[in-house]
Amino acid sequence: MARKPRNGPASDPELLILSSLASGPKHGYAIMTDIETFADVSLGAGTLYTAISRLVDKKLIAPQTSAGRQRPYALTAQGARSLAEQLHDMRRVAAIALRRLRPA
Amino acid sequence: MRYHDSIVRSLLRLYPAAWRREYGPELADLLSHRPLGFGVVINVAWNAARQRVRDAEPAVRLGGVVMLIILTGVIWNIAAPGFGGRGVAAVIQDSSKTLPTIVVTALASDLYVLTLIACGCWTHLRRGASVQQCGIAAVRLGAIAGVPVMIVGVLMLVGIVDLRVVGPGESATGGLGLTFTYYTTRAHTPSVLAVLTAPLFRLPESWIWGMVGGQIGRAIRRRRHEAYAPN
Repeated sequence: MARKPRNGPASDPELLILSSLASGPKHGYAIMTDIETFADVSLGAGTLYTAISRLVDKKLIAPQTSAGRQRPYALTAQGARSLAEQLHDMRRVAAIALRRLRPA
Repeated sequence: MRYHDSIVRSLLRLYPAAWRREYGPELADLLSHRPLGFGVVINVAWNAARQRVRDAEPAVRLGGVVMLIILTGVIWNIAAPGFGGRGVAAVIQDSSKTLPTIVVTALASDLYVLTLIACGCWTHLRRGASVQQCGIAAVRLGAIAGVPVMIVGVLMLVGIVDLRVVGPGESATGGLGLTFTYYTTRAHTPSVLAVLTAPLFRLPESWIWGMVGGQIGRAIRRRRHEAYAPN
């Protein structure tokens, strides 16, 4: 059963793919199931491969050689830096917002 | 299973050929291991359309936008000539020159000239195209943009659409069947050939404006190189 994607920065397909690949190289199907597990977001096959091709163009991920039809993708050094920057920014904004939400 | 495979193949054909060569086998493999529901088909088709827009040349993208504006005017002109006929629906108008006798309103505007310059500039910056190629890109833009008017011309030629000439103070309502209304201030009836060829007369000028855009693109690129060059 496909789950409806939630809105917000944490459901951005590119961020989710980079986060999934942070634990090591994966092929498309493994990325999709991993994202469903850790983020509770179901990416459509078209959305997944559109985001993958965009990340490859930006040199944030790179395809690995494989004998099968599914190629694994791995984070590049630039991709790891970009992911870390995005997550730090999100953590900073989240910390400020949560502090402001706390009753005085 | 064969039905499933044929749908997957059809969906993959929606993507640009270069993208399909690179990612097609993987996407096909992924789709073949999941049920093909309506949502999946829509998702893949929508992303294929996005990819096509992303991969399209600037001339095709900008030409498509101008074509849609003209097409809206053509549909409005035929469907509801009585409403604001001298605005968007006035697709063609009198020319101030001897030849052509009529011009496509949208293609005669200053905004269109800026679009042609932008097309030339964008083509150079994106592909590093020569100034001549930027001019050709602008001509391609003009050819795409003029398609709705040329279709109207063909439909007039084969007798599917009639031409109605409306002068100052006259009403554009009435008449049976498909009628294309031409608003004139000179009580002049254009020939079918004039309608059919009206967008083509703008193409040589498009070439010049595209080259101007290409030159601007070259200047921008040179500036960028100078800004990033080591001292």
